[in-house]
Amino acid sequence: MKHDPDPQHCRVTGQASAPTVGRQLLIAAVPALALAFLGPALVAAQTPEPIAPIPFQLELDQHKVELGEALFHDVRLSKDNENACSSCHDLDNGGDDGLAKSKGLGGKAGKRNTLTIFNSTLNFRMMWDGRFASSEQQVEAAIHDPAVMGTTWPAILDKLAQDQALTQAFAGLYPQGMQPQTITDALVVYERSLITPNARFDKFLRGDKTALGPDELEGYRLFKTYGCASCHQGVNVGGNMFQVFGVLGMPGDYFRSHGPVTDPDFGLYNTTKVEEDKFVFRVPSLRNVALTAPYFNDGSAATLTEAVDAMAKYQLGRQIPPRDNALIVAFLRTLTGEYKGRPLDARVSQ
Amino acid sequence: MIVRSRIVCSVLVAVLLTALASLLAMLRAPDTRPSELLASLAEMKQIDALWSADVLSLELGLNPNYDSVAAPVGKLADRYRTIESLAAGDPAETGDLSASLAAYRSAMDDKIRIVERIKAQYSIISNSSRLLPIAAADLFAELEGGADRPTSNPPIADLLTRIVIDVASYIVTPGEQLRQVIDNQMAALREAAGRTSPEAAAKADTLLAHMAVILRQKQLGTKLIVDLTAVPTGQAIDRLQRDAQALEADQNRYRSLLRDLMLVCCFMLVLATAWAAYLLRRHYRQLNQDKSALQQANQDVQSQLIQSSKLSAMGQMVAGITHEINTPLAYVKAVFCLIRDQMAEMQVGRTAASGIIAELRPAGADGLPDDQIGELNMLIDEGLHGLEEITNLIITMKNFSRLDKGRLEYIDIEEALDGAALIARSEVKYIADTVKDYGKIPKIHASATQLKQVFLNLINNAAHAMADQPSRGKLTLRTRAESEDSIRIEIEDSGTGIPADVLPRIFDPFFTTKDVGKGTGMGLSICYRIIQTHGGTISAKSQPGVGTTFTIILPHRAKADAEHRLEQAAA
Repeated sequence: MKHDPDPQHCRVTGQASAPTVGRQLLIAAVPALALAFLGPALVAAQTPEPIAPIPFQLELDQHKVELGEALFHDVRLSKDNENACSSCHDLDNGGDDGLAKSKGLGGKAGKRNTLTIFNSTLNFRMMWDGRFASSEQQVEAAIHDPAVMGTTWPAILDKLAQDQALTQAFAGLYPQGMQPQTITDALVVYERSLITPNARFDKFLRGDKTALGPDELEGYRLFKTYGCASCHQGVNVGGNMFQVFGVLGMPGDYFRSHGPVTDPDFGLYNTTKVEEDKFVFRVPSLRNVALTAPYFNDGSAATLTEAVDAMAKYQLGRQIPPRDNALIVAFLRTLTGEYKGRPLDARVSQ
Repeated sequence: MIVRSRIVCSVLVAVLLTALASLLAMLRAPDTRPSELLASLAEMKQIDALWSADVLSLELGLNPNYDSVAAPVGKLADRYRTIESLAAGDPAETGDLSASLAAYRSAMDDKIRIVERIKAQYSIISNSSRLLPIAAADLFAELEGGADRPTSNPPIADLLTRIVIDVASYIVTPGEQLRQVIDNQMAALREAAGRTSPEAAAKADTLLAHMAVILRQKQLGTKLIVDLTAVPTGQAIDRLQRDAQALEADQNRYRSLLRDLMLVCCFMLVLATAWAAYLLRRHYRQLNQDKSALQQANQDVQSQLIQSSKLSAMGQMVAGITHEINTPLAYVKAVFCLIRDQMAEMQVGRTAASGIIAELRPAGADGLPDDQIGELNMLIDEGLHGLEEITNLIITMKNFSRLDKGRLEYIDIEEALDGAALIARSEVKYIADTVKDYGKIPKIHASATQLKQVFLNLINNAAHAMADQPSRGKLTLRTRAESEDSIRIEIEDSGTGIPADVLPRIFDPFFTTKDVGKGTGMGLSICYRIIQTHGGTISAKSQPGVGTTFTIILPHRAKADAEHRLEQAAA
């Protein structure tokens, strides 16, 4: 225990140099604190990293994936053939639309920032406020949402039934043929195929020590020691828990600092109507985060630097020096993965 | 009756077979839902238990991330969907499970909510705890840096050290008393730092804010863990398991009931089959009996037909013969009478004039002597006697063919029998005892003279049959009511009996076993004819050495056609 491997502690003890009394006191106090709380964390430090790599591929029915891909780009799933799933989830643009808020449908503006479709099925719940437990529920809601697809299943089936090839494809893959359930299933299977393995950071996790540069490694270390990894962890670097936006101070201070609080800012409260769920959000995934600006549910943070600063202030209750911020951002950029064997950022550059 | 039994039997067999088939189908399609339910519930219970352990191990910092705590929710939801769809199979059974399912759902929703809050709470407290020493060090460095107030620092440093140790202690053993102490210390530190410098105050604020977060989140964490352990997901799953076990038990009971029913069905089917076999056997026996009865009747009818055609031919022949014979017989008889009369006249004349004649004629030369005349008279008498015999025969034959004197009236058969027995008394009395066994039968509509003739004939025959017996015979005259519209008359003797080869021919005309001249062979034929024309039957049953019984069955009233026949015959 006394050989504390955490460099943060070394710095603390190192700084406590001058007066003998205070120094002794601190020498006594800090290990006591470490014993009390970080003891378990030390055990944790010997366990694997808080982030796990994305599997290279999942066992999926490729025919359903292809069918789902066609549907994903099919505008007939929306009212007046205005939107397809791909209208907002641009696979060549990080899986989202790059807008602060979705463009909506038929003049009705979207209420929230579009989340990336990449790795979405690795999240434990869907949407910013985690209101859907499954992708199926999300598809169902998107179809009927007047600001997203704004249509109904009968209307969709009417249109798709005229497509002989599509009908036959469904008949070949599903015993019950083309139905709302099977259309949803094909879309969800395709969504599952939209994972981005083999990010440089994943290569590092798999043992490639040369995958990250020293700055990026330092950024990862800071990511953990500042406590970002308390919430942004797991295979999706987030996406597996809820957290209130505003741990320090009042929840929702961030939104209030930008202007009037709107309904979507209340997060989980909108679903549960429980007071303590106000401003509670699903911790978003940081996979491919460099490609999904702007950030937060209202798209209020234009850059990663801004987002990291906001998180440090409202979630961690501290200021992060610009240099550390830059290092953390450098680490975050290593989370950009590959789709169909090509890095996502390479697509952007095309 | 037999037909109805057969229908009932066939229907029974068909119903039993159908029941058996449906029972078999029900047994062969077992409901696997209770066992699948139990399997899913067992999985669910295991996932839930592991999940609880994972959540609790969060507080120990043993999990590198929350993936392992987040994943069970999806797995549990999958199992729940499976269970729900299994329970939805039968509306009767869903009623049983829906309450338990609702209880589970509510408990699981609570648990998910609590676990989500534990995850959020744990990440907050771990962050603030991680920051605490850093913030404390920053504040200490700030205090150390203020070299112009060296003496004022030790009390703050002291306070800082104590408060850090106390917070660490609170993290391990949260208590209200300690909380009070820390609150006081925090207030003191804020005040002391505020007095020292604005920079120190700012750093102290950061430290104190995180301490407040630690205290708040620790309290919350304790409460959440207590809440978590109180969430009855385990009980809810147990309850579902009990329900599923009850379902399984119900199903087992149901299946064993089906098995029992099937056994009963099989048993009843065997019984029904046996019954069917019995009915069939009885049916065949009945058919055989009917067949032999019909054959017998056919034979009887055939022999009767032969008999009556014989008699009919005889009647026509006899009518012709008697007519043809009667005429020559009449004049032969007349001639014989004439000769006899003239012979008598001649004898009277000669007696009166015997002297003259004797003198006129030489003796022995002219005229016949007296003894010759006497011989002639005797021959003529013999001839007349023979003619008389022929006449009798002719009359008998005429009677046979014409059966006249037939006048129908209500007669008492027993009186008729008595009359016949009286007439034959002279024949019978030395040979046999007559026993009269009368059944007091009603009067019937018939011809008294003809029936008396029949009875007399039969009694005489009986007497003849018993005449040669060494011991005294017994003649029984019996009458009985045969049915509601017919009577039976039996004339039974203890005579020599009739040999079997003779018996079928006894009613044939001119058939006789008596010596030549002792019988005409027409007696029984006439009897047969008389009874037949009355619409009755006559039959003989005989055992050689024991006796013979003639049985006559007569209708109460001779039918119209019988009357007609009688009248026709009389004409």
